[in-house]
Amino acid sequence: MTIADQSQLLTFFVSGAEYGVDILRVQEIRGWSAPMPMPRTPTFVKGVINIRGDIVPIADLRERLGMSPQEATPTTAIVVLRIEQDGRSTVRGIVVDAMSDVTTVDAAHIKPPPDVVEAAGFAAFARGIAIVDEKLITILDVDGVFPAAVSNDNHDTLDAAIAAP
Amino acid sequence: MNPDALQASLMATFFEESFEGLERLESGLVHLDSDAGRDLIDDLFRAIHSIKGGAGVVGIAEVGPLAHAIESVFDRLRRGTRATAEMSAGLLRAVDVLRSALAARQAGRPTSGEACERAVAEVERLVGAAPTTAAARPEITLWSIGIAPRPDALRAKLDLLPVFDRLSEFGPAFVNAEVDAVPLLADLDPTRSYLRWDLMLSTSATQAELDSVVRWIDDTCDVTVAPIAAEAQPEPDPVAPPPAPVAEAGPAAPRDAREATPAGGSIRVSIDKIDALINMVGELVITQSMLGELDSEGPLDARRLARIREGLGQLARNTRSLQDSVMRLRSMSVGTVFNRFPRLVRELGERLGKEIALEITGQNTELDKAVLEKLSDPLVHLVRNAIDHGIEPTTDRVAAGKAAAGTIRLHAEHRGGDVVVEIADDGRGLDAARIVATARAKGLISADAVLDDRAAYQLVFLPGFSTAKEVSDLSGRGVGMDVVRRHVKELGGDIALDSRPGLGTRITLRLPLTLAIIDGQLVRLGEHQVVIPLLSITESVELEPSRTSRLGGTLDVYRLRDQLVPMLDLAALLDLPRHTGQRQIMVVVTVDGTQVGLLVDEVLAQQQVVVKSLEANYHRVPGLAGATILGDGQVAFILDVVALVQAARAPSLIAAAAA
Amino acid sequence: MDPIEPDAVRLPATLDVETVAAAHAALTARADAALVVDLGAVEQVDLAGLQLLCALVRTAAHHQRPLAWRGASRALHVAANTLGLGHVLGLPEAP
Repeated sequence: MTIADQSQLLTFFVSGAEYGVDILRVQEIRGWSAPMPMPRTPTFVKGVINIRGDIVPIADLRERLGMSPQEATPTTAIVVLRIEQDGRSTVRGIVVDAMSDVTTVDAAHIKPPPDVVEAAGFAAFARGIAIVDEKLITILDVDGVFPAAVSNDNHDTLDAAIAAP
Repeated sequence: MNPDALQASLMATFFEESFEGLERLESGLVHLDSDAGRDLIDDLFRAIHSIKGGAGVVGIAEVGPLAHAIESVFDRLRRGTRATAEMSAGLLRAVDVLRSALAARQAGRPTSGEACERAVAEVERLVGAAPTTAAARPEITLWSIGIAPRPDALRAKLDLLPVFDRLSEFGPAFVNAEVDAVPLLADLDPTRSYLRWDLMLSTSATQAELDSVVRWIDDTCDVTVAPIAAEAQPEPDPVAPPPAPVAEAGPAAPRDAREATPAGGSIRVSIDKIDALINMVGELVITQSMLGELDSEGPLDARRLARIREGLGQLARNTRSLQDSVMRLRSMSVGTVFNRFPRLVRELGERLGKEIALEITGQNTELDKAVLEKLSDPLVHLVRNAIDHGIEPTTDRVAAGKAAAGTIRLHAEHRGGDVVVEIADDGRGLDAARIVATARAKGLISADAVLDDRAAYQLVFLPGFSTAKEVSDLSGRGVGMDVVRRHVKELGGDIALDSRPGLGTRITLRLPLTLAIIDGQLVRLGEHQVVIPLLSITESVELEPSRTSRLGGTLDVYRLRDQLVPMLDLAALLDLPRHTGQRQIMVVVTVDGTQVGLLVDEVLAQQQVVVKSLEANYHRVPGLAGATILGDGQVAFILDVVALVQAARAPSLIAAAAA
Repeated sequence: MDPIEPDAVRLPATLDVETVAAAHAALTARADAALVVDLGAVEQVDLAGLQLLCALVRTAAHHQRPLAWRGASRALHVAANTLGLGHVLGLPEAP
């Protein structure tokens, strides 16, 4: 087997399940630090943090996967990724419950996501399921985690703001 | 004006004019031996003469003798003594000493009288030796000090820090650590020594002096101290010992002066810009009187309305051009930075034995002063790179059928709303294969990654790409391209690199014209901080509950003097957690000519902030002009007040409030 | 604000020839995974300590494992930079 048939995944846990991203897309792993919340963004985008002078948006993977948010714990980590979107290369972070490992998987052991996953709305960013040592690892397509540009002015929030003293 | 204030103001003027004079000397001295025209010599004479006189007036006596010595050299030149390359090199060094001494005084530190005395002696020697061409260079030698701790040195508690500290007191030193012999963790005996060092030191100290220092460690280390003869100095081939540190001696000095310049500072403004401002104000006055005439008795008929509308349009145009002109006061020509490079290129080229022509174009392009100041270091680094790395040794160039002299081009121009600065060389270009190999070795890319040349070049911007070896062979500064990129990004700009094997390398910096830095008012909302552009703020008001009332069940308004000002909860507008308790402070901003109050918890400092785009890694967020990074590393958003208030549908509400 | 790292290996206040063996053992045990190393406590470091950090960087690069530093003290910065190891180690910015 040649090396091209293998890929390395950085894996982590979200709500008890294990997920993986292509390690070549990982810029760094950071501990949790509270981001500056950003207005007019989907709730799973928690805000922005400062990484060596770059303003980097952070998404909570739990919420992106449709699970309820959870307070940061001592194991909460931010995986900083290089993400391609709208034809640009950007740096963005995802919040995960805990880091797991670096795993090498054979291409042959990666299955397409089953229909049920699609039904749950993961299709945009689940690239496949890898089976490693009898564990299931959902491989994320990191480019799909963040929403594309939105031009929603979210008037509801603004009306609420004006009404509030 | 009281005597202290007068003295302080005299000092400020003296320093400003002196540093300017020193810049003039520096750029003039570079041409002294090739183009010693009477005008140039006269100009340089006047520059040093006024520094000498000014120093006497403000009571900085210790630089007097040195300024006098330099002045005497120009006096000799005026009387026909021929200028030599040695002379201009010596004077440049003396100018550096003078600058450091003045910078020290400006920062309130004592000057080094010893350094000034040495410089005086050197300058006097120059004059003495001037008629002959015999070198009057001080005997500065480049030394290579190899330190190889023996395997048991760690257990013997070897401490190299004091040795390196002491050695670097002798002169500019560059420490090259050799880590290749350090094994992987699994094979490491942690108390056994594997590291080695090669310290390059440029100094006038003698071998005996150096030996006396390294003797501290010769019981645990094998130490070699050897001069690197100028002739034997190897061409900068990637594995050769670095020639760069020598260059530290000269061009590094001006940095001290600039660092010592207080951040607030003052700028000199050209008469043209002031005239433009005066014209603008003249037009404003005309518009004002035209509008004033319309405010007379008589019916407000259609003709008069049309005239008023015309007047208001004119007023808007006047205001905009006035704003532009005021912003332009902050801008300076790129030439003020470019002018440093002839000397750097010449000195570094000489030391490396490379013939290099420097072409400068677009030096009149203007950039914000603050951006320009921060641009200087990255530019120095990039030009050094081009000289060290880009331009091949003369023999290689000739063999490749290229002109013997290499060319480095510095260019600036306005392009769109940005300023573009280019640094190009006609050297060997980047070696994509070597870059990929290095990136692989450092684990920055996987072993099987396939990259085309363009993609490979971009790897040099990755943090951790430059290795100790490359640092030495690049620039001796210890900064890599990732640091250059970070600096440029901090200015709100971007950097791109293009290279053709055998033809050269071009680096393009794109910088914002003026908008990169704004004056901001920092306000607190709960635990977060937000920046409101100072330009849009009219005033800040501490709220009196009795002046607050609610209209139509939803809109709170504040009675500010005889106006009703709608109040908006800024935290809620920004989707920040609602705060319990009434916010106490209202920042009044003007939007489309109407006042709106933004409720905040606290008004903090006013400061200049660097605007960073949210689009770089995300996309535009309505209501935010960008973000900035505060002193403590926290991110703060910068408000786009107009968009924020408009998005809040404020106009209709304001109309309701006014009704 | 001192965020707690997931699975961070925290190195001791004194990282010198006396303590380096223990730190080496702790790092070796974890060197086969992505690693976060907390340097926040390290105030005293000698050549042996710096050499260990160099070995760690080289090991991570060799195995292509992500390695992140956390909280290097000024003392550590000064020692690394004076000895020309600043760029080898790539420590985070000084506090």
